[in-house]
Amino acid sequence: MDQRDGSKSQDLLTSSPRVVNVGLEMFASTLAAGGVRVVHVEWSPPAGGDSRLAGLLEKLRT
Amino acid sequence: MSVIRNEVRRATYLDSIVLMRMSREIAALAGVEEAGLIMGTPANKEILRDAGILAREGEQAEPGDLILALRATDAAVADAALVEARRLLDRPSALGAAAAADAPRTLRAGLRELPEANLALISVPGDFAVAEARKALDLGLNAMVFSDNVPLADEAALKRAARERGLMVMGPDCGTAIIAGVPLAFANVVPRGDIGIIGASGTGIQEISCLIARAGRGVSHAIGTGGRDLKAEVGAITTLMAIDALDADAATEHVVLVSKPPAVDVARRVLDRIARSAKPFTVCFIGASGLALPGNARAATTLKAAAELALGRPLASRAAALAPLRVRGPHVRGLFAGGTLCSEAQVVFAAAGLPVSSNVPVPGAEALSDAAGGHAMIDLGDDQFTRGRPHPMIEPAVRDAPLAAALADPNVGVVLLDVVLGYGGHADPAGHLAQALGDRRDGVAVVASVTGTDADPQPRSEQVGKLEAAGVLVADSNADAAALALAVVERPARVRGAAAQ
Amino acid sequence: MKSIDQANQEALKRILDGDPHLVDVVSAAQAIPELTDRMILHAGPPISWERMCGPLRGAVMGIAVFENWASDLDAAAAKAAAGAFAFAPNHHFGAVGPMTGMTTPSQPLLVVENRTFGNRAYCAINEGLGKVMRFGGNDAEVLDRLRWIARVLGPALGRALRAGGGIALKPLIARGLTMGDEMHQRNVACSSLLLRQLAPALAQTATSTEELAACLAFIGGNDQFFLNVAMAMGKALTDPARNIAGSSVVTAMSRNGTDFGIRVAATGDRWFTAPVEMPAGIYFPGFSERDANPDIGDSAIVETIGLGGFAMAAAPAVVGYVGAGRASQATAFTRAMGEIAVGPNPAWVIPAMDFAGVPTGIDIRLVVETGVAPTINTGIAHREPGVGQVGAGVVKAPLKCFEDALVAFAETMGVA
Repeated sequence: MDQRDGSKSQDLLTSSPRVVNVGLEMFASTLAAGGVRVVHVEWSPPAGGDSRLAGLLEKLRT
Repeated sequence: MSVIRNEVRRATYLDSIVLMRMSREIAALAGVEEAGLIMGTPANKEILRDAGILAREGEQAEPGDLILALRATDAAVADAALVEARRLLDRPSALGAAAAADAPRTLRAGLRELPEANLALISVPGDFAVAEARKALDLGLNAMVFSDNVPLADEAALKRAARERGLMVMGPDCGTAIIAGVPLAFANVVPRGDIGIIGASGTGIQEISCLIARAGRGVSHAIGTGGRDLKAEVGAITTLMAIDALDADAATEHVVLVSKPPAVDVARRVLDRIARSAKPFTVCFIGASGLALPGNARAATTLKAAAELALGRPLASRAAALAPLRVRGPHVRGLFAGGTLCSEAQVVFAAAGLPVSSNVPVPGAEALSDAAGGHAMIDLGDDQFTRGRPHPMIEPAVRDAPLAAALADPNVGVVLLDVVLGYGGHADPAGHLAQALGDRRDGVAVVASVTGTDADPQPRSEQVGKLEAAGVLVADSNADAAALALAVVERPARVRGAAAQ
Repeated sequence: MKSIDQANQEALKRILDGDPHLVDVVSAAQAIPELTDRMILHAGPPISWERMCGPLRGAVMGIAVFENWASDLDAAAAKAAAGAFAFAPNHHFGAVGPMTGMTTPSQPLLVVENRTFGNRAYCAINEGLGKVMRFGGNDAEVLDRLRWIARVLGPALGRALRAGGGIALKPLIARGLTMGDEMHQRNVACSSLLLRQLAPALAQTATSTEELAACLAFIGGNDQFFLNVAMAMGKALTDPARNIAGSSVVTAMSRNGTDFGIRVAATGDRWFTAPVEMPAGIYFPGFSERDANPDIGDSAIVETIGLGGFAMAAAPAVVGYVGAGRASQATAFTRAMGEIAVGPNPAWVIPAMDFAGVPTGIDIRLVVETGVAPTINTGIAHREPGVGQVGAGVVKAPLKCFEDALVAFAETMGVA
């Protein structure tokens, strides 16, 4: 129940966020315009939206 | 005889905001009655069906396909509109055609381009958000999940997985965060300072951070936990992690916690953790009362009170200079874009002993019903209004019709509004509102607050100026606006004593 | 229990650890003892005569005459229809062949040995451009050339290679990548480097000056000579990864002009097939899409090891063939392939991409997830047998192969 080593979430606060943006493009362009290091991912639904294949992919993730 | 056109683009995806903007552009063309550019999910098809623009081609679309649907006065207009829609779709993205072709398509590839990344900001449709968040955690990234409509059990499992890895999940349904001075998603530009905020509510964070900024102080970090973090199933995982983080953060001297009232044993767990902190806390469970707090914590029932406790001094309430106001109706109708601002207004009314109803009632308020008259606070950002439609913070036009109805209702004496500024919001909400309000409104007072700062993309003082020029009474905070609205109807033609300036 | 990612790392490691050397040229009969009388190996997954496209039939007819299994082309066709020949994929016998990919007992095959694992792979010698059996050519000129290759060029190359102890291919590829080759559509640099290394031994072991001159002219006149070496190398590098439990890495991609087939490490020798797609590209003067044959050849083995379309950033000149326009977009193709590959090859780097390694090890999970299909650089053959190459371009592997493979892979992992 107790939190394990929280160093990675701590790192989030101590240094400026460096962001991978997945989804709405406007979030990335706003961050970029503000000088934040951000990369925008041109996301689309896994397996083109085919839920059977997407379900298999979820189970085969690692 | 109206003509319907449907066109389907196989396996084509565009984000919802981009599609909504395109839909608006097409719908605005002369002769076009309805238009929708939307992904072919069953829910979206129903929206098109309800709008009377779904035809056979659109019916056959699959969830990964993009549907162009429109209805126009005649075939010529319909065909021309379709040509324009295709042109919009094929136009290079805002980031440039070359960039789009080269852009990573997966989180994994995105991380390869920015190996030092520490946060994934996820705003894909809710059905896909958990999978993306899990990928982020597997890649060692913290996650801010803006997406909503994520099953509660999935949220709990996701946050447990994050905790195991020492990573933080802000969300789902986390619209606002400010990390190390960087506004994320819908947030305001506020100075850095020593007050930390942990919020289950986006607009709650926005209002408190803006009040702090306008009082001349600043925010160290504002950590969004998502609206359901304090539910029993989730057990405050992110809230507790955020408390640990702000406890360890040298820049943070005081912590404000804001959310709806949590489940009893979750509240207990959170308060126990607060008790173990060396820092002073302000606990704002909106609408809750009678909390047993540890010695280093104080309670606030409103966002304004929370800001005051964090600042360590009261905020001057500059009551708008009122000539005795004659309003025609006895009731206040609140129309809110921010859910927490709607809650705060209810708390102000309930604390004054006045009955108030809402579509999202706080303890002490009634559920909205057709039968109930009286004071009503409506959250226009609630799911029932936003299914398939833009959120009012993004598209103020969503509030136009309810506003017109309120202004025309003889029982309404005061219309109460919130105007939320900042990144992600509309470019000029005050301008839009001023136009929507039109000219003379005899007998109805319009009271508003403006959540924002002068450093926002829509500078607050300019927005306030536009509203006042349109005859709106602008209060210094949402709580003050609610109090002002209350004063106008409770003591008609009299002004409640103006506070010293 | 090993994870899929760990199994894929193992597959990638086996591909990257390979040490391919071009060591010899021997007859197919010698290299492949299982090659019996009237057995014809072809490119792509298994296929029957009835389903073969024009160029493939043309090649079958021609090779039957070449091997003296039929008196003329018509007789060859009749025999084929009557089931007189046994058809099998090159891949089933340790071989690969470009386009129609005919492999029969009398033909000399390049031998590439993977010294790390001890396995060998074979490919016929590239006939040159124009009217060749690779494109379904089967007239006297084509067969005469094949006879010359079998009688003169093959043995000459074999002698030279044996005398020199073989040629290390990994460093040669590394150099070619810095010189504008991608080893599928562009092989001119590697072909030149190869000839430069072979020339002394060819001269040393030549039986006559005329023969030496003919061999040098033949090799030197063919910009694509190295393609067949690269293909045999590709097979030699991927074969050691052919059976790794739990790995979703592609070990072969191949086409027979009708079907596109892939093999995956976890599912061994099973083929996952789908109809081939039409290449999209630029045509030589006088030809157009109407003349194009569907995608064909074992040469996609080159993409399977991170070259060809995957290394397009190394060969911006090729992008002109793709119809995409600007040479600067070559990088976009390689980056896109990076989305579906396990990892970069540190030994084969592309200067224009800050010396990033070519993306290697196609993961079927990533292909299905992203919808990004492997991009293959290919020559385009005329649909009529024997006409030859009519253009060049890109073609995509059909997504269905990867979707079917994913379902089968999931079954091996006990997931439904």
